[in-house]
Amino acid sequence: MRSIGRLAMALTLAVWALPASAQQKPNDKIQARLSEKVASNPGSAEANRDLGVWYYKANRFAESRVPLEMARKINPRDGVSALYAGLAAEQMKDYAAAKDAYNSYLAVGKTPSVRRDIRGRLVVVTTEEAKASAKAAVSNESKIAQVAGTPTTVAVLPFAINSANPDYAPLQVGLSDLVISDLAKVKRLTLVERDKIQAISDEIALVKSGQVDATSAVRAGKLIQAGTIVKGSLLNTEGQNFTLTSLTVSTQTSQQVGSGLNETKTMDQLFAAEKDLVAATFKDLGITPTPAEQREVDRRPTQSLQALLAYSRGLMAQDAGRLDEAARFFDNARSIDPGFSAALQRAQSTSAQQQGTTAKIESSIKASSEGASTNAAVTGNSNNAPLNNTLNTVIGDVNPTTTNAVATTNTTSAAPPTTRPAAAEATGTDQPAPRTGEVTIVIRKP
Amino acid sequence: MRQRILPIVLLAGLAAPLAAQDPSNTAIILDPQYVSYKLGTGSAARTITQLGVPFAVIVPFSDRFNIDISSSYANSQVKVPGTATSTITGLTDSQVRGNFTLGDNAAVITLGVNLPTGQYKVPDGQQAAAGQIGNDFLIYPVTSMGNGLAATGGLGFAWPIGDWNLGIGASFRYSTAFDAYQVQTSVLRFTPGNESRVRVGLDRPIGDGSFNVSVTYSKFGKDQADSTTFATGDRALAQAALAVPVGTNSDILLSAWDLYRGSGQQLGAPSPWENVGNAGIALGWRAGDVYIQPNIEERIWNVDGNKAGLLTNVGLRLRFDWIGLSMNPSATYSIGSLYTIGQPATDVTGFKASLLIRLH
Repeated sequence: MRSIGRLAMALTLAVWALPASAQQKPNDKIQARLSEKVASNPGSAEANRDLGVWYYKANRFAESRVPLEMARKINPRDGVSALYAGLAAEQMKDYAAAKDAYNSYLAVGKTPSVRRDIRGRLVVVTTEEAKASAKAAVSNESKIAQVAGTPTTVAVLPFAINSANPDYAPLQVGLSDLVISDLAKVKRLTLVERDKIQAISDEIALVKSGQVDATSAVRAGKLIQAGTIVKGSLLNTEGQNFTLTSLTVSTQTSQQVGSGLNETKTMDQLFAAEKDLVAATFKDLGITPTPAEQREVDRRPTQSLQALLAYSRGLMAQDAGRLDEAARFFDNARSIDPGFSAALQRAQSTSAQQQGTTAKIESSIKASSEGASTNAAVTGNSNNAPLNNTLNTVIGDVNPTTTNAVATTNTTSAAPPTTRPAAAEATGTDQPAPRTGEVTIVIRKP
Repeated sequence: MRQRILPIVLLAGLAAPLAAQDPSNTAIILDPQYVSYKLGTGSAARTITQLGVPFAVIVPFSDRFNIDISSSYANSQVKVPGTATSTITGLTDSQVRGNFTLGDNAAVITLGVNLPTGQYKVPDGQQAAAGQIGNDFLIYPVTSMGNGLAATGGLGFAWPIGDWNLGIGASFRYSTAFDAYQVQTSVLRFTPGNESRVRVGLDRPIGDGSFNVSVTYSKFGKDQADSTTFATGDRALAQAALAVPVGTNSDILLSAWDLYRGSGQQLGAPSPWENVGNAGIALGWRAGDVYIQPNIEERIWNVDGNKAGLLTNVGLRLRFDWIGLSMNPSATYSIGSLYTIGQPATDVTGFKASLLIRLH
């Protein structure tokens, strides 16, 4: 009994003593071994991938990209290469390459949890890409401004909100989001994503005290290479009445196109007013939606002002990087109007964005069978025989269960029996030949 | 003392994984299989069939700790001309196993329990079906409908030695008594002997392929059938496989295994040693998103130095992904003979179809 206690205590201490990050760190000997493998077999996708993953784990991101891209080229269906190529590109702030690699993983990757995390990561990368693009646009403004976008490339700027009620302030992004969504339903138009507009807006401080001046609006439009900008405002001086106005402006001429919208309604008619604004914009652009497009445009994502306000607060929080808060607002919008699908999508993408950290992605891939190869970059052994595979086989042999039987079925027509059918063997009833078997039961005397 | 220590050990085992648990990577495997062997020809032919549905759930709580739960449903039949068909149907025993990795894939502690959820007190009419599925030569997906409550604890270690990985493991299985058979109102109480098992193996990459070889040896204590004790013989299983890529899109798999059971005693009769050897070759290639692998295997059975069976298996395995599931359909046709000293050979033909489905 005492020995059992000592054994249990030792086991307890051993388990607690294990650091959570008790990982074998990449070392130069392994790098040399992996490099040799690449040198001796440059056409091996696995060798290139292992080396690339090693460099990534050693935080040598620039060096990791060459073998990882080579591995992707040799074997475009290898998800692990695409994943690490994306992670490395992201670390190097090459967001376009990161998006390309992540999208490749979504196409060929096999681990559902990693795919889910990647979707969230793509949201982050897209936002970062928009910010980087905005910075680059501002620093190259003189060149970019020379290249005008086509008139059908439309940017809807954040709305100017003039209201004594601060609850309406988030409508600056909520209304523009609704308008972008409606305009995008017409195939002839190319809408600039709200992420890009927001990034430029932040970069040049477009909205000042809730206002967007005309010069800044045109400047923003040019920077994002939109041919047309839509600039809206909502004036709510008292009570429920408001005036919604819009201007459609050509960035090439800086002149207003068409007559825009100027109508006064009450807050319970906000969604109808937004549809009027969209219709006025189509008229300004000289576009007539097809009947099918018009039906889509007429569809209202929600009828609830409160749901829209919650959704708008979520967008503002998301733009500010406050993801917890954003998720709560989107959930709130969904609970107010369960049919508000845009809120559901935003809630899901925000949740994925929260989950999809690069560390989480690495952890998920490592735990998966697909990611067993990443261990090769740490141990230096090829992905075909990493230690964890060895251990799995050992455990399957010393403590076999049905799990092992089904896991090996597809490599042989019949896996060898790893356990004995004790009763059948003992009684000899396991024989297939037409023999006569007899079971003798000895009954103890009472 | 034991009552106090056990919760501590369990807590210790759970504490580390809680920090990084990710059960979202849970794997679910379902492997329905249909197997049918026909022994003999004409009106005297006997047919043994089984529809087995093994299933397993593997939950990786963290990088270090996973649990798998597995069981099977099976319907087995032995049809002998002129006699009533022996049929046994139902759930088999279930296994719950936890594996805890120590260090960086250096060692694993494994603990498992065999839960007696299967079929017990097997009556007269079901005994042939319950027994014959356990044959080591004509292999069935479900080999036993019940082995009684048992617990297994073991350790596995792995070390890289140059380009090789050495894997060593040992385990001990403690078995308890169960009611195996029922004849009229009498029940056979059976206690399997405890099992000590050791395993040594090596594996290594070969180019972009791999090679592995291992030997597992099991030593059994004495079985007890009611008041009678005996030992059926220790077992040794050797396995080897070589997978080699051919070109950029195909590969060859050579595999072999050999199961040896030492001589011993059955209930009321000697149990001679026997050996089953199996060797196969498979050629695989990818056609679009489908991996295709025709294969052929030869199996030979020897009992006490005498040839007892020969079987050729020709099959086709496929592998592809479908709506997020890994699909592995396969079909095998078998032809061969069973041999008994002093009697003419018995022809054997068989067919097996399976569809292994794996989520994650």
